Amino acid sequence: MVLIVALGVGSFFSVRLAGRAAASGFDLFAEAVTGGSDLVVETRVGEFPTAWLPDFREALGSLPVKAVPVLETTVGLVLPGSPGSAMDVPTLRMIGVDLLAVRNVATYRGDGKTPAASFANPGESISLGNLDQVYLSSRVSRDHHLHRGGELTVIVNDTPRHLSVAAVLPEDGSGGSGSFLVMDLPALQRLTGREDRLDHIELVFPESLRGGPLTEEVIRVLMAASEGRWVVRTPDAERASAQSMTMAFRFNLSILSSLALLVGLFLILQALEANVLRRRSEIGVLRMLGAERRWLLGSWMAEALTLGVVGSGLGLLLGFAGAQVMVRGVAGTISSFYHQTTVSAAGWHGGEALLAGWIGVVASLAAGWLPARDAANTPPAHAFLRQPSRTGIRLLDHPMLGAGLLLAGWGLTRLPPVSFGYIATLPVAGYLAAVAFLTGTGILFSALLPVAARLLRGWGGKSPSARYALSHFRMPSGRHKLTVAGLVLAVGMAAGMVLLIHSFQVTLWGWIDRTLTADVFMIPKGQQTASGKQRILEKTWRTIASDPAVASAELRHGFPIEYADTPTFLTARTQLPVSTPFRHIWVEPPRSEVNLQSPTESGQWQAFASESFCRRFGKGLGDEVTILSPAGEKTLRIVGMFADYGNERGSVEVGADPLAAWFGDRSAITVSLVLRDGVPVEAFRTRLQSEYPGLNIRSQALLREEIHRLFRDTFSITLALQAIGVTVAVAGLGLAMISLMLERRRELAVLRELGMTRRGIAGSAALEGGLTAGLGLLGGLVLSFILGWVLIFVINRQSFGWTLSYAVPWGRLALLGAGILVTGTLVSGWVGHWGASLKGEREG
Amino acid sequence: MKRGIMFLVIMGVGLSASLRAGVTADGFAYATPNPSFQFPRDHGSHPEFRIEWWYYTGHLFAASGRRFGFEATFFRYALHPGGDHAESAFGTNQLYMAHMALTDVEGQTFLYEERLHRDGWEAWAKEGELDLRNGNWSVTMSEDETMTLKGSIRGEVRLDVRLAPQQDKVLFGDQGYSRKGDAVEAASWYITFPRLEVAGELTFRGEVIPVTGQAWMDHEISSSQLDPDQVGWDWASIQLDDGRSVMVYLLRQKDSTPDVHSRLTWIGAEGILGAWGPSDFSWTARETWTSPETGGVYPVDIDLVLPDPDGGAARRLRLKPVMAAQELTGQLSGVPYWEGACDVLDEAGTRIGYAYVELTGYAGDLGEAMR
Repeated sequence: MVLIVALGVGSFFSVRLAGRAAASGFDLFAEAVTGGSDLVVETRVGEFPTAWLPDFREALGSLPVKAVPVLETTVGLVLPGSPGSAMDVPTLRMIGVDLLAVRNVATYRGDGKTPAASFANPGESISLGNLDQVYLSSRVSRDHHLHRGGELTVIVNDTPRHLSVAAVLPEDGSGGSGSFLVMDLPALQRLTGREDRLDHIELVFPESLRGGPLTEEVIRVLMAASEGRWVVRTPDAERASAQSMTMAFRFNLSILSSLALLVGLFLILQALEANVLRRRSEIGVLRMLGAERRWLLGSWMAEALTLGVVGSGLGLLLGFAGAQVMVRGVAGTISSFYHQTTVSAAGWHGGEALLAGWIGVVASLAAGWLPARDAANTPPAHAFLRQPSRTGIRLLDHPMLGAGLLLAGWGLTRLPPVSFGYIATLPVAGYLAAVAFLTGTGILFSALLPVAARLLRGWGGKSPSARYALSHFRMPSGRHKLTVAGLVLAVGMAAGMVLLIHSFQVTLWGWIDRTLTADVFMIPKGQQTASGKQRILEKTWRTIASDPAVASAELRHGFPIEYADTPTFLTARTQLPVSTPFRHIWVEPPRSEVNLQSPTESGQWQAFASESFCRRFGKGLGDEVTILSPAGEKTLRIVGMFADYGNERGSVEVGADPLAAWFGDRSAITVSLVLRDGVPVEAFRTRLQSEYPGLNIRSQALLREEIHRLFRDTFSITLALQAIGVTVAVAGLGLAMISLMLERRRELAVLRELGMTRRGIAGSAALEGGLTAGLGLLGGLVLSFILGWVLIFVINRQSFGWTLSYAVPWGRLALLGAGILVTGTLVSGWVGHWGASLKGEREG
Repeated sequence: MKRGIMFLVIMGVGLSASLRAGVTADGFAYATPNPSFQFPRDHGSHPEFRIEWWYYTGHLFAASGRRFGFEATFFRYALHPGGDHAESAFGTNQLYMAHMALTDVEGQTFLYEERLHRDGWEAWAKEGELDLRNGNWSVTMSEDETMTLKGSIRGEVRLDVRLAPQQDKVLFGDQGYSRKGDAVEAASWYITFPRLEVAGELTFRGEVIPVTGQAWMDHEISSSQLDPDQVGWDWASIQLDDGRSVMVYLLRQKDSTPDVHSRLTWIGAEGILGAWGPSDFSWTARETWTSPETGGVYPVDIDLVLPDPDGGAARRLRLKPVMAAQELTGQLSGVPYWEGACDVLDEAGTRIGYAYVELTGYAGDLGEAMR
C-alpha cells in the first residue's frame, strides 16, 4: 500500500517538477551572465532596429542604467566526428551581445566576478566583430566536451560555420545552468543576415538601486520616448508570459498524473477495507473491552495517515528521480510548441513537494475514511459474525445518484473553459465532467450486479462451482460493488486514453496524408522547433526551387506577432511556379474567390486563420483582425479557416508578398519540393544534402518515420499511465477476491467438507472474478466512449483549439478487454485456489 | 600627457603620424609644431590620431562646507588609422574608455567606476564640437565654452555640474605643441582649462547636494608612446588661492631618475608664466600608502620644491592627500593607478590651494606592460 501511494505521489510530483523545469528554461541573457536584468525593452512585433538606439540612448540620458542589446538565434551544433549530413543535431541558443560593453555590466554587480567579467579579459587581445570566435556556457562545454581553443561547427540559418572557442564562461550559481553560446553582437548580426537588428535590450541597474524608484523612472522616460516603437517589461512579466504559454500544457499533465493517483486511491480503499475485515474479531474484542468508536476511528485513521506520510515521502523521492528522466521529453514538447528551452535537469521545488505530499496524505486519509468508519461503527456482536452485515461505500447503493452524476457531467461539458486572457484556457469544467462521468458510471454499473446475476442464472447449469459463484451476485456485497466501480474507473480511463490517442493519430495522419504530398522537405538544421529563429535565406530557396529536378516548390514564411497582447504567428506561403495550387485542409473553406496578395478597396487584407487561432480568439469567417506589423497596423479579414495540428498558438496566413513587405524579409521557415517525374528522390535528397549541409533535408518517407517517432515519444507518458490503470484494475480485483475468500473462510471449509474440491472452489472464484471483471470491463468500455468524447470534443478542443475526428480503435480495445478479463479471471482463480486451503479452525 | 600614456598601457598597443600633422609609419597622424587650432572645432575629436583624452579633476563644496573631490576622464583610442566614428551602432574603429571617481572628504570614502565601449550608440566623441558620451556619462560644451558634465558612480553617486572657464584656455608647450620624447612622433597637442568654476548638483547616496567649486580640464591629442626606459609618471594640477596654477609631470625612468622631458609649468591669469625642466624642481615623497587590493605602494604625500616666477625664489609646497585610499584598481583596464584630491600646504602648514595628483606605475611593472 505504501508503494501504491508512493507511485501515485511520485508520478504526480515528477510530472509537475519536469513541467516546471522545462517551462523555466526561458531566461534572459543578463540573468545568465550578470545575475539579473531589471527591465527588458522590446518591440511589440518584429525586431528592434539598431537605428532606434540613438533615440533610446537619449531617452535614458544620465540615468544610472546599463543597457545590454541582445540578438538571439538558435543554431544546430555539429559535433566533431559527426557527419555533416546528420539528420538531427543538438539545438542551442546563440546569443549576440557587445562583448566589450557587457563587461561594464559586471561592475554593477557585487564584486564584479560574474561571468560577464570573463569576456575579453584585461591583457587579452580584443578582437571585436570576430566572426570566428564564440564563448560557451559551462553547460555547453561540459555536455559537448568543448574547451577553450577547441573548434566546433554550428549551422546558422542554412549554412555551417566553423568557430573556435574563445573561452568557457564560469559558473557562478546565477546562470550556470544555462546552455548557450555567445558571440560578439555585430558578428552574429552578420552571421545571421540580420544586420542592424536586435531582439531586445536588457537593462541592468546598480545593485543598490534595484527594485527602487529608478524602475518607475526608467519606464517613464523610455515610454515617453517610445512613440509606439518599443515597450518596457519587467523580467518577471516576461517570465510569466512564457510560463502562461505553457500553463495549459502543464495543467493537462498534472491532471493526467493526478488521475493516476485517483485510480491508486481505489486500490488503497480496497486494501484498507480488506484489512478492516481481516481484523473484525480484533475490533470486536476491543469494542467489548470498552474501546470507544472515536478511539477506533482515530486509530484506523492514524494508520491511513501513516500510510499517506510514508508513501508520500517515498513518492517524493521516486518523483524527483523520475523528473530527471522525464524533463527532457517535456522540455522537447515545450520547445516544439512554445519557446526554446534547453533545460535537461529538474530541480527540487519545495512548493511542488508540499503539494504532492499533501495530496498523497489527503488521498490516503480519504481512502481510509470509509473503512475506518466501518470499523468504528461495527457493533461488538457483529464483529464476530462470519459474514459482515454490511461493507463498502454506501454511495454505491444509490444508482440514481450515478444517473444524476452522468446528467451533471453532460451539463458540465456545455460550460466554457476557464480563460486567462487569450494566453491560456483551462478546460476545468471538462475535467469536472470527466470526474462526474467516472463516478456516475462506476455507481451505475456496480448496481447492475444483481441484474447480471439474473441474466446468467441458467447459464451455469448444475455445476456447483458456477451456482456458488453466481449466488454471490444476487445480493452483492459492498466489496463486489466497489470492485466493479474500481474496474469501471480504471478500464474507462485506460481505454479512454487509447481512444483519444487513436483519434489523434487518425486525424493527424489524415492531415499529414493530405498535406505532406511533396517528395522532399527541408528546414534549417537548428530549427527543430517552432520557436527557433533559423531561416532558409531567399537566395538559398530560390536556387533550390530553380533546380531542373524540381517540378514545384512550396515555401512557408512566418513571424511571431502579438494579437490581443497574446503571442501568435503571422504566416504565408509561396508557390513556385505560382500556378501551383495551395494544399490547405479546410475546417471552413473560403466562400468566394480569394486574393491574399493585394488589399481590398477598403484597405483590408484577406487572410486565412487556423482553427486554433479562431477558437482561441473567438473569431470566424468574415471577422476582422487588426495586427501590428513592423510596417504598422494591418486589418485582415478572415476568409477561410484551416486545420493546423502543428501549432496550438494559432496562426493567420496572409499573402507572401504583403508579409515580405511588412517584415522586410522573404526568408522561409520550411521548403517542400515536388520532383519531376522520374527523378530518384533519395539520390536527389543526398545530392541536395551535400550541397546544403546546413539544411535538414528529408524525403517524404523519412519525414513520416520521424513524425511516427515523435508521436510515440509524445504519448509515451499517457501509455505509461494506461499501464498503471490496467495494473491497478487487476490488482484491485485480486485484492477484492482475497478479502472475499477471507470472509468466506468458514463457508469454504464447509464446502470442502461437503466434498467440493480445491479446483472446484478455484473455478468458482475464477468465475466470480471473471464476471466481476467482465461487468467492470463493460462499464469501463462504456465509460471510455464517454470519456473519449469528453477528451476529444471538450477538453482537447478547449485546450488546443483542435477538432479531432472520433475514431474507435476496436482492435486495441478488444485486446485491452481480453487482457483484463483473462488476467482478472486467472488471478481470481489463483486466489480461489489459495482460499480453498484456508483452515476453518483458524477463524476463531 | 600622463593619461595618454596610461591609455596606451591599458590597450596594450605599440607605437604608431589635418591640422598640419605628420603621419606615423602605421598611418596615424602625429602632433607637429605650430598647430593652428580653431575652436570650438578642436575641442572635439581628432580621429586621425591614435589617442585623445578629455580629463576633468576638481573640488566640490556644499553650502554646509562639506567637501568632495571628483575625477571624470574620457579616452578615445583608434583601432585603425583613418577610421571614422561609428559606421554602425557597434563600430570597430574606435574604443572609448572612461573613469569617474568621487572622494568624500568628510566620510573618508572613495567611490569610482570604469567604462569601456566601442564606438557606436553607447559611446562617441564627436568631431567639430565637444560632445562626449560613454554610457550615461556625457560632456557637452556651449558657445561660451561652458561645459556640462553628467555621470554616475554605480548606484551611489550622480553628478550633474556645469564647468565655466574663469580664465582662457592654455596651450601647453610651444603654442600647444608638447614634446614627450626624443622621437619626432613623441609629442602631443595639449589644451587645458586650468580654472573652471563648478556649479551643479551632486547626489550622494540618495542625498541631493547643491555644490560649487573649481576644476581643471585637459584635452590632449597624440599618437605617441612611453619610452622603453620609462616605468611610470607622477602628475599634479595645483590651483593656488592666489589665482595662479601649476601643472607638473615627472616621467620616471628605470633608474629612478626623471626623464628630461618632464615639465613644470606656472600659469597666471593671463596664461603661461614659465616652464621648467626636471633639473629645476624636485618631487619627494613624505609618506607611502600600500593598496590592500593591488599591493601597489604609492608615494601619496608629496613635497614639491619649485621655482616661483614671482621673484624666482624656490618654494616648497606640500601636496597632502585628503585621504590615502584613492586608487582606481583597473577593474576593466587591468592597470591600477592612484588619482586623488589633495590640499596644498605651504611650509608653515597653511592650506594655500587645492591639487589633484596622479601616480602610475606603482602597482606592477608598467613599462613591461607597455611593451
